[in-house]
Amino acid sequence: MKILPLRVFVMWAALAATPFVAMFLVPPMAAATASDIAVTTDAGAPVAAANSPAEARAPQTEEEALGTVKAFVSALRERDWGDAVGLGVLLLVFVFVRFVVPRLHGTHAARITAGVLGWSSYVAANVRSGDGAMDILITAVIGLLVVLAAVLPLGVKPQQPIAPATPATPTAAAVSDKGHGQVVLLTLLALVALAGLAILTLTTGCGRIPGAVKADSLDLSERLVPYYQVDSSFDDARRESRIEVVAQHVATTNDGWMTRPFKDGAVLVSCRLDGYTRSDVLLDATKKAELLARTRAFRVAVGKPAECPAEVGR
Amino acid sequence: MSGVDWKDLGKDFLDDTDVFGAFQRLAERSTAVAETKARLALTATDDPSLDLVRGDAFDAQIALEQQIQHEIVNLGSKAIEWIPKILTTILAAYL
Repeated sequence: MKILPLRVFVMWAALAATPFVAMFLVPPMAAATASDIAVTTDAGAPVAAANSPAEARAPQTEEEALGTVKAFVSALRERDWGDAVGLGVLLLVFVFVRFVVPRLHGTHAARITAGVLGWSSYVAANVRSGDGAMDILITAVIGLLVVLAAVLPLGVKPQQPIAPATPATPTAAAVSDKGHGQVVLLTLLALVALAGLAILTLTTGCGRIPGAVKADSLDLSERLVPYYQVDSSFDDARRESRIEVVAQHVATTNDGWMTRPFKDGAVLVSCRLDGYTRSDVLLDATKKAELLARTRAFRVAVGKPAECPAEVGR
Repeated sequence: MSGVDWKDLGKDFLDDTDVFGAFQRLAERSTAVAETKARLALTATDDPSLDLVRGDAFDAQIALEQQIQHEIVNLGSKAIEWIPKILTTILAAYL
C-alpha cells in the first residue's frame, strides 16, 4: 500500500482553501442585486437610470468629476460592470494558465492545477458577489470553458519522445507510475476544490437565516393566509395560487438559506400583509402600528428597503 | 484509472442526482422568470386597476425563483453526498 506524501495533503488543503480565500477577498454585495436597486427616487425616476448613457457625459466641473468617480465606484459595487470585470479576470486566468504557468513549471499537471485553482476562485468570487443562482451557473460554465481552452493542449506542439532508458535515467515503468500518480492526484485535487465550491455555494453565498428572522417569516406567512382566504376580490384559482406561493415561501424559509428568492418572498409576504393590515377594520390603531412596524423591521432584517416596492402589487 | 469502474460510477451519479433533468428544469424556469418579469414590467404603472395583475405577476416570479433555488439546493446537496463516495472509490482503488 502506497502512502501519500505530506506535500500532497498540503496541496489538497491549499486547493480546498482557495475558494474560501477568494470569498474573503471579494466583498459581499448581496444587497446590490437587481431587485434591490430597482427602487425609485422621490421624483419617481428609477435610481438605475442614473447610470444611463445620457448622464454619463463628460464632467464639466470638479464637483461633477468627483460625482462621476463616485457613480463609477457605485456602478462597480452594483455590478453594472460585473460582466466586464468578470471577463477581464477570465482573460487573466487564461493568460496565466496558458502562458505563464508553463514557463514556471513545464508539466501538464501544473497547468491543470492552475486551471482548477483559477476556475474555483472565479466561481467562488461570483458566489460571494451575491449574484443570482442562474448567473453563477452561467458564469461558472463560461469560466470552465475558458479554463479548458487554456489547459487543453490545443495548438501545442507534441512533446519530445522520452529518451530510451539507460541505467542513469528512470525506467519506462517508473515514468508511467509517476504520470499515473499525477492523474490520481489531480482528480482528487479537482474533487476537493469542487467540494469546497459546493459547500461555499450552499453556505457562504447565501448565509443561514437568523432564528428571529425565520420565526418572523413563518409568523407573518401564517397571518397572511387568512386574509387571502376571505379576500372577496379573489376568485378561487387566484386564491389557491396565492396561498400556494405563501406555502412555498414557508418551505423556502424552512430550508434556512438567506437567498435572494427568500428575500423577495419575504418582501412579498410582509408587503401584502401591510396592505391587509391597513384596511383591516377589526384591528385597533395601536395593533396596526405595531404590525406595520414589525413588517418594516422584518424587511430591513432581510436586507431589503423598509418601504414596499410598487411592483409587489396587491 | 483502470481500478475504478467509471462507467458504473458515472451512471449511478447521473441517476441519483438527475443532473440533466435538473438543468432542464432550471432552464425552463429561468425562461419563465424572464417572461414574468416582462409581464411585471408591463404593469409598472400607478394605475390601481392593475394592482391585482401586477400582484399575480410578482407572485409568479417569486414562486419560480424559489423553485429554482430548491432545485439548486437539492442538486448541491446531492453533489456533496457524492463527493465522499467518489473519493473513497478512488482511494480504495489506488492506496
